[in-house]
Amino acid sequence: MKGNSLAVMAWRNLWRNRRRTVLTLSSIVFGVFLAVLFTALQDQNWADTIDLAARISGGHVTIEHPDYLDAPKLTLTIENTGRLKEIAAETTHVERVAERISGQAMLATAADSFGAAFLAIDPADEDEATLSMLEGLVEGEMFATTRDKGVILGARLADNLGVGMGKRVVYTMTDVNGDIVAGLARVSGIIRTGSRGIDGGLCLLPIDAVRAIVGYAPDEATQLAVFIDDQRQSDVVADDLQGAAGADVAALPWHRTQPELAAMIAMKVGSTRFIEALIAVLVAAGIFNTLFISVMERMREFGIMNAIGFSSGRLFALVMLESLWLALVGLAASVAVTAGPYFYLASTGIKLSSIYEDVEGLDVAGITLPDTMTVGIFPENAAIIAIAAVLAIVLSGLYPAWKAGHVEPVETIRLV
Amino acid sequence: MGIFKMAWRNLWRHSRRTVVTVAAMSLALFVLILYSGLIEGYLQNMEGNILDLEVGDVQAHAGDYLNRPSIYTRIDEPESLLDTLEGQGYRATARLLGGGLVAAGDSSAGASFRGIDVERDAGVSQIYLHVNDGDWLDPAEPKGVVIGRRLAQTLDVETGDELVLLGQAADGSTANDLFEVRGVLMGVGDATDRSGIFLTAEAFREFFALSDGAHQIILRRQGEQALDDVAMAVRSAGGELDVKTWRELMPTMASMLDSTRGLIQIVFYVVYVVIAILVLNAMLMAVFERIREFGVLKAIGVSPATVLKIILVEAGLQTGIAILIGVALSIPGLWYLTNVGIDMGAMGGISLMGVAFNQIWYAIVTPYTFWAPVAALVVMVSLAVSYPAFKAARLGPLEAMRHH
Repeated sequence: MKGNSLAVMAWRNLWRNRRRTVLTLSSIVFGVFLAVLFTALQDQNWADTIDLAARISGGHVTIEHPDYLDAPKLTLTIENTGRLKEIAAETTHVERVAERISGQAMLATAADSFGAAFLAIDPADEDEATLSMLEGLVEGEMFATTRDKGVILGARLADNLGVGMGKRVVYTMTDVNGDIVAGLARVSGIIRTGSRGIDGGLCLLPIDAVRAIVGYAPDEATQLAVFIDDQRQSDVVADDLQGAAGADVAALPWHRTQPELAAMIAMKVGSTRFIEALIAVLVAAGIFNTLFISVMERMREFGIMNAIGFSSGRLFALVMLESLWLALVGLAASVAVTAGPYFYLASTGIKLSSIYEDVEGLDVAGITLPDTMTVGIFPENAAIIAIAAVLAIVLSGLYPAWKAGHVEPVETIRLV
Repeated sequence: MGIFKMAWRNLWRHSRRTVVTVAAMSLALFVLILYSGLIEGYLQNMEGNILDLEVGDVQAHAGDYLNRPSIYTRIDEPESLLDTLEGQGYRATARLLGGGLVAAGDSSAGASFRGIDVERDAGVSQIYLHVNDGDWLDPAEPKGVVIGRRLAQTLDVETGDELVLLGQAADGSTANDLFEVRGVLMGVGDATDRSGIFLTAEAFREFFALSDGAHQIILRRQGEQALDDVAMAVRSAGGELDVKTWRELMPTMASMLDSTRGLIQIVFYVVYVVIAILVLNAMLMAVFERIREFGVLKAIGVSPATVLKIILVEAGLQTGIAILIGVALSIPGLWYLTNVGIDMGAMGGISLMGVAFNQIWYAIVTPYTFWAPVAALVVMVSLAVSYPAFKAARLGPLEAMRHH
């Protein structure tokens, strides 16, 4: 028999014990199915979460003063933001760039006073795609200019301060010399996002108004938020920007500026990978069992084949081909079984509120996750699962195949 | 020959198959016991941090304080309420809360000030044990304050440095004063880490010109008392107060902690489905290769029930061995995870819904850690083995003996 007929023989052998093969296939399908859905759920959700985190804080890549990360201070600024914005805009993957000043202020009204974080922005740079909280602008509107006399408050903060639209708010902060300075603004917008931190502790101010008060130059800011088309390129883009912008500034990917979120994702991804690996080992053990028994049952047959001139190498190849067929059929069946649920989950998704009761919003490291989770697998992860499945199956066939190759014709033929 | 002896010998007729099956079961059990211990550790850690550091069991505020925190919305005469509650066997403390700005050098940050009755608070909150650098508050040192980890970072200060606190006092004047950082906390939760400043109650009262009242009462129950009963007790003692349990204050967190214990059961079953298919396949093989043998047994008068028993005992023995090995292996593993733990420090601190997760992740062993994965294994193996067992029991002797 020639090589391709060996494959035919292996195929037929596989179906001699139909039930056993089907059961083995079902464990492969189950394993692949789980791995694909687990991975797809994570790939999509973490990608979404990272994009969302970028829109809540400083972008996928943040350009800031090299010391700002360790001790954020108003004095640690970047200059020449105009030139940096041009550099960023010319870098591949970059979609948007926004210059900002962020810091802390105390807001006071006749009624009360509260500490809050402020974000000073250029209205020309920002919209919902760079600052997700703008989706929650329920009253009023975005600043008209960078010198606008308005302030946009979180809804809870406005409530606590006892102010509504058009009312006066005094904001107090420290300037570049460490002196306490104050500015006056009228409430020009209210934001309601559902997140306690934003609604209760954040205000937006126009960037040039804040520059004038804290004593910054016209092209000075605390950060440049850079948004890119694929969060997985954050490191690459950060490196490119760092190279182009020089050592006076630091270009940091999101996982440096938000280590808590990165740690959470690493922990979740790690534990899923771990369970996936465990399932892979168990599926492989099951396949090994099946292949091994099917070889032991046929030792007499292999003995005869060997006696009539089938070399050890070809017996080995025969069993290896059987496990390869098993892998290929298993993979095909897995695709067939997984496709339906996958596309359902990719298009319709799962509602988190159906799993957790009374959910107000799941916060991971300060980022509120969207309620509906959809799936989407990165192509390279799908390829890794397919390769891992085939490898696990083929490797489980090695020992049985070796056993078949080392058949002792005389002894086995005597076996009854 | 006894059924056990027979089943035992049957197992070793294909020793490799048995070894692989038992090894797979043991491995799955071993891993899932460790996993279950780690999840228990994680849940108790989160719950502990909520109760011991952040929220307590039950909180009481005056009027609409939770929705509109104002320095004027106070609980009158907290002392008498605390005495009543302590008389009923609860541990309780009153806290003063306020907002403002804190500055050091050329940096400043928004801050939430918390005035603490040092002695009483220690019976309620373990936050005094979570000072990373320096010391906890001391009533004898009213100018010393303890601040959150990230706030210290933002202000670039450490123990011994000077802080300027700024706020609006209750009499309408601007409150501002110099304080000294006495201690910096470990990570205890997002809000405290980013903006918490702890002062002694006396210092708080002086700073905000506040002579009486308190903003918040935190209460801890004794033992396993039902939360709602505790809340009822506070309501009847406290009159008009807004009383809420930690579950009402953090509903999402409470629901998530509850459902996690259920969700890990799903992980058990998912992993065991693979084991079940493996056992099903192995036992089916074991039955089919012995069909003639079962035919002979039937023919010489062995009842179907006895055949059924043989197969069940074979599966039971394998599961039993796997449980022994899995549990035995997991003991040193759990010992390591409960004593040494997994250091999450390299990842830079984790928080979920504003509650910090400890730097070192320890497992916690409860009876549940063992019996939940073991019970799930037994359930899944029983399901898997029932088909081959009934198949063998119902074989007719004649066809079976003709089978080859």
